[in-house]
Parts: sequence; structure tokens; C-alpha cells
Amino acid sequence: MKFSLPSILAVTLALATPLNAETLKIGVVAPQTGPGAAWGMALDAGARIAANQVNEKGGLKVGDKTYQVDVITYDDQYKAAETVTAVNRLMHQDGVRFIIGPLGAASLLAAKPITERSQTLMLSNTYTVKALENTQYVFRVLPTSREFVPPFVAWLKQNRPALKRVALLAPNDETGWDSQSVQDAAYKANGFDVVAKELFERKQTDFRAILTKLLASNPDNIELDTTPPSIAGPIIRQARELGYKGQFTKFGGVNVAEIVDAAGKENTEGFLGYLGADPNSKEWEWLEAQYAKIHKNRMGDFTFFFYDATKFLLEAIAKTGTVTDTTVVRDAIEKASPFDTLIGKSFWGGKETYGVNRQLYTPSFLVEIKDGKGTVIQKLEPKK
Amino acid sequence: MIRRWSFVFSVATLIGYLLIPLLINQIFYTHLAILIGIHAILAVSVYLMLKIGQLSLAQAGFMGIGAYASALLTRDAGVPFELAFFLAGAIPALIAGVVGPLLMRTKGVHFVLLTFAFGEVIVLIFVEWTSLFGGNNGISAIPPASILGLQLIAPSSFLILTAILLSIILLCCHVAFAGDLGVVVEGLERNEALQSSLGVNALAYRCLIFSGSAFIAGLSGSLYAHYLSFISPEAFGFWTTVNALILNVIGGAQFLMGPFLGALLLAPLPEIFREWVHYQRVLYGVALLLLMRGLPQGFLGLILSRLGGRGNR
Repeated sequence: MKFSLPSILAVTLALATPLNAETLKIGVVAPQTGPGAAWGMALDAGARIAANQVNEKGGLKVGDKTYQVDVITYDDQYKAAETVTAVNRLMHQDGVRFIIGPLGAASLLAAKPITERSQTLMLSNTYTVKALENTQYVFRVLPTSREFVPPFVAWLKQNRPALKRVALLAPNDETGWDSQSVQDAAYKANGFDVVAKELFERKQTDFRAILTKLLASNPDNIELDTTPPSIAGPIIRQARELGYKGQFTKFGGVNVAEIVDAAGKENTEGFLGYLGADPNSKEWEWLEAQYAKIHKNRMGDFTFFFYDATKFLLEAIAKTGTVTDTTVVRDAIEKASPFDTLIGKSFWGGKETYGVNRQLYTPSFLVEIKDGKGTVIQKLEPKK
Repeated sequence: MIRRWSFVFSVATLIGYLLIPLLINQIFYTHLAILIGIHAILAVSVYLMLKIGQLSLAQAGFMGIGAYASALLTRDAGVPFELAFFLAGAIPALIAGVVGPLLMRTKGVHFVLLTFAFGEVIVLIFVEWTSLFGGNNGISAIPPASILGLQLIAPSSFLILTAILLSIILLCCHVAFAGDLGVVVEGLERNEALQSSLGVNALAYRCLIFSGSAFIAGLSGSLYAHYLSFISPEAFGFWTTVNALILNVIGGAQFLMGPFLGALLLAPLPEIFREWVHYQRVLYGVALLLLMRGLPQGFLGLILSRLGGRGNR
């Protein structure tokens, strides 16, 4: 008897797949190339790690069926029109009812009308306050400036009393406007003197003109806010070249390696910033090992949020016994709060700010850069 | 004979463009068809400028003006869609009419650079005038298109609107170029000095085409805004015009149906590669290079050369 290679493969696959296994498709829409790709890949990896964990245990039991979780990722290139196409394809071609992503205000605001109409659940990230406005099927699965800036600034006031004059710098878009207004209010509320506020275009690479204006106000702390880490590095370097010797803070997302590489080790000494997870923890080490199996670049803290989001989505699906009724799954996600996540206790909140309790509150980590390396010096627990 | 076949082919393509997605009845294909239509309309506006031998890089800017005008008029001023749609074409056409006499005095690379700068200025205004245009954050919650009070929320109804408008635009251009205007425009492209010596006001005709192309670009912007319900300045930058130019080149830049055929070929192309997430853009680029290499006269040029004639431009 002769066996051909295709027939052997077919038999092997048939034996490897549980008899009653079905497929649960989870969509991921995020930039995988171009600007924002590092964030998008973190999102993709977070979803895949959570799905792999479930699949390795034999699949997700939903009612009397067992599902293999299949993550379908589409690159939206950080463009609203591409997001709409990707979301349409996921919903209508792939039959996806649950989407992780997108990132960015433009992408989410463009996709939202379509997903809301079809009651597709989105576990998303964008800093705009409009993200949760007039929505029934959107959760924001990581904290924004509104959640973590006030406690960080309060810490700064208490622990760095010499700092008094603060200059704020942020990107010139919804994210930057919103976060800068939050920073402005938080610094003023803690008795700081906000001496300058500037916005820059994301395409910009030379910041000397803005920095010259900013330094003329004689700040002793420059707050880099939601400036992307890839831009924060060059800004720090250029400010030092212009003679600035003061403090840098960035209470708006930090990638230590990227900032140190671009700014130079000596220029970042004493830098303080916000991180979503502790890079020296065993959880980081574990997640980083899983991440390395999926992507080749270095992992950032974003992966934590989307790993946890996918996990609590899958748990809610299993608990409710439905892979189609997104309303029931949504309600189960809401009720499951508080969660045990890799970074600690997290919960849904935001009713006072956004009108709905679909904003995730998580612990935050204050990182200090010393000798080119980031060390967490304080873990701040979330407060509603 | 070829002229008649060209017409039949054009009508059949347009009917197929509308009917195939409706018959397949899958929202994703309808969505792709809508994007094809919107891109094709913008590409027709680029075609008009190419027809007079000028490459305008301001077309996406005009599209943006149309998009913002239509969005703001319907959302904030309560203007009916039908009127807002007309104004979405009329406002950029008026702006083109005002700047046209200045820009159209230049030719070649100077004109290309001037229109590039003009397009960038338009986008910068969208970015910097935040109180009106929302800056980089754009404008959201744009109401859906509606005709006589009937809201076109279903993608199939929006596709019908897009297909009808595309057909009307192509028909108007065909009729216009089949008459005296076509003779003058062809003359302008080939020998402007001769045309002028015959008493033709070359500048006026150039400005007319420039305004007309801005009108069409503005209409595509209105469709874009009301379909996506969200717009931001990045959608109307330099690369949007370049993409519209590529549609002309691939479809056949010397033919009126070229932009539409280019859109039919190219708009779905990224979808074929979408599953190869990290290589999607590279594969798209390679496919584009191969198409340009294999279709130097565009897709229509290839068909007509096989049929042994140049056909109806």
C-alpha cells in the first residue's frame, strides 16, 4: 500500500484536530507597517498570546462546543479609510463579531458607526474622549492621561519639590490637545507653574524652533506628555544641545530603549515616565518570551493590555456560552470587573468622565532612567 | 466600428460595476465597489487636467474642500445633502476659478510644483484652522447621504448613488469632449500657439478645465465624507492625488474610461494581499510595478491595440 504526502498530511491534520472543534474568529485591526507599527504589533501579539494559551489547552469551551481561537490580523496603516475596509472585511467576509483594536482616534471614530450598527464588539485604544461617546459596543482597554496623569503629578510634587516651572509639549492632534489639557490641569492643581504649552506636528523632525521658544520661558521640567517615544528621544537630544539642563518627564507612554537610543544615555539620566507594566517583573519576562515567538522587535508595555483584554473577552464568551450575541458578552465583560491582570487588579470605570463604565483602570508604573536603563520606582494603584 | 465597441464596452463595464456587487450581495464587495467609484471620480478629475497636458497635484486638496464643505454644511448648518453635494463641487470649482488664472499661466514642472504647494496649503488650513475643520482630529458624526429624505445608510443604496454619479460624470465628459470643447482641448495639448493664433482664448479654456476638474474632485470628496462619516486632513494629501494619477496610468491615461478601469483593477488589489499582513504593501508595490511595465499604454491601450485601433478617447 502506498501513501502520498497529501493523504498523510490530511490524516495527520484530522487526527490533530478535536472531533467537535469549531473556530472562533477574533479580529485584530491595527497598524502592522509604517508609523505606529510597534504599537500595532504589540496589540497583535497580545491577542495571539492569549489565543495560543487557550488553544494549547485544547480550545475554548463555549456551551457544549469547543472552539479553536483564530486571530485574524489586518494592517490598517494607521489610516481611517483602511480601518473601515479592514473592519468591513472582518465583519462581512470573515464573520468576526469581536475586534481587538483599532488604535488612534481617526481609525476608531471612522470604524465606530459601522461596528455599532452591526453590534460588533471592539476592545480598542485611543486617547480621545469621543471614543466612548454614544457607543454601546466599545471598551477602552488601557488607561489614558485622564486616568494616570493626576496621581503621577501628585507624586512629582511630593518627591521632587525643587521642580516648580513646567513646560508642556504634545502632538498637534486630538490626542495631544486632550492630554495637554489634562496635564495642564493636573500640574496647576498641584501648585506647579505651567510656563509654556507647545504643540508639534507628528511629521516634524527638527524641534529646535519650538524648543528655543519653550526654553525662553525658563522651565525646570519639560513634560513630553503623549509625544511618541520615537520623537521624544530626538526632542530630548535637541533640548540638551540647546543647553537645557533640567528635568524631563513623560507621563504619557514610554519606551525606555527607544528613548535612550535616540536621545543618548547621558541625556536621559533622571528621566521620569509612565509605564503600563514593570519591565523588571517576572510577568514582563514571561510575556516577552511569548512575544518573541510572534514578532522579532522588542516588546513594549502595550502587549500587556491587549493580552489581558483578549483574555477577559474569551473568558466572557466561555462564561456566557455564546460566540454570536455580543450584547450578552459585553454585559458579562462589564460584570466581571474587577479583573486580575498580569499587572495587578484592574476594573471598569469612567462613568463620571465618559458616561459609561467601559474605561479600564489599571495600576501604573513610574519609571526612572538611570545609566540608560529604566527602573520602576513606584507602582500607583488605580483610583476611580 | 471600434468607436461603437468602445461605447458598448464602457456601458457594459459600468453596468457590471453596479450589478455584480449587488448580485453577490455581500457588504464587503459593495464597500469595495463604493471605494472604486469614489477613487475613479477623483481620478477622472486628474484625467481632465492630463487632457490639457497639465499634471495637477492639487486634486486631493479640492477633494478635501468638497468633503469638508459637504460634511460641515449637512452636519452643522442643516443643509440638505442634495444642496451640500452640489456646493461640495461648486466651492472648489470657484476656488479653482479664482486661482486658475494665476496657476494656469505656468506649465510643465512649474505648474506641477505650484499645484503641489497649493494642495499642501489646503491641507495645512484643515490642520491649523481647528475651530472650523477640527485640525488633525478631523470631523466625525457626518450624517449619511440622503436623497429626497431617504437616508442611504445601506451600502447597496450608496453604491447605486456612486455608480449613477460616476456614470453621469463620465457621460458629461464624453459629451463635452465629443463637441467643440474636445477639439479645442486637443488642440491646446498639441499646439497651443496655433490655437491662439486662431483666436482661441487658451487661458480661459485651461481655467475652465481646471475648475471643472476641481468640481469633480469636490464631488468625490462629498461622497467620501458621507460614506465614511469621518474625515481628517491626512486623507487629502499629496499621495491621494498620486494614487489617482496611478489609476490613470494603469487604466490608460489617454482614455476617459482609463481612470475608471484603473480603479477597477487597483482598488481591490490590496485586498488580494491583505492576508500577508507584513508584506501587503510590498506585494502591492511589486504588482504595481509589473502592471506599469506590462501596460505602458494602460489597460485600455492594450485592449485597443489588440483590436487594431486607438478607439474613442
